[in-house]
Amino acid sequence: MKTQFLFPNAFKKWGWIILTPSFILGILVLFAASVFPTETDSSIIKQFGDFLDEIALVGTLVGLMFIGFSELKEEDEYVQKIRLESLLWATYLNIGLIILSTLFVYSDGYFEVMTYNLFALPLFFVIRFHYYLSRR
Amino acid sequence: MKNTIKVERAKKDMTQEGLAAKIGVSRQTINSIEKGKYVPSTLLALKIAEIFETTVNEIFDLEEGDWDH
Repeated sequence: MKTQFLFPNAFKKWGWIILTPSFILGILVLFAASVFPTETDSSIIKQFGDFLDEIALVGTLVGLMFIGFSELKEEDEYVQKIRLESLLWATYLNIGLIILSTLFVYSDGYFEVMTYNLFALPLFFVIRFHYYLSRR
Repeated sequence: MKNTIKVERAKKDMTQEGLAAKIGVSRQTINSIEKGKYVPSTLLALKIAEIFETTVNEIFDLEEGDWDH
């Protein structure tokens, strides 16, 4: 059956290749900011340092998108059902977490939660999708 | 929904893999259908029936619980 709106199978591999370094970079930017250039460094290095968080987030999003939305080698209607169910489930979970954090987390903490939320939905989706694929 | 795919496969001496290849799905999908975990589309049900040279009704059967809304 012809599927629409999915990337070719080869994109899945590229998804992992892009996601892995981007995600690690993102964790470093969030939790180990001191390893990166500071204001005392020369301007070129500093400018590059300014871009690291952007690279990390865009890479993480593109990577997760390629992993979750590429056709599988054995793509069929059951896989499509699992994919759409996982997307629905991830959306519910994400909405629930946004509501909870809006009600119970404030100021700087809220900003931090929203930072994670930039990639939380596709991350929940990819985890749930692959878990259910493995349980088929 | 009950189904007799496993029996039909045995009659034709066909593996899950073999049936999967004939109708263009994965082996896991055939396995899930046999176990009643996944209800196939009409298109897939018709293809399965065609492979076993019978009708969809001979392979798939409604159960009591299928009438619950």
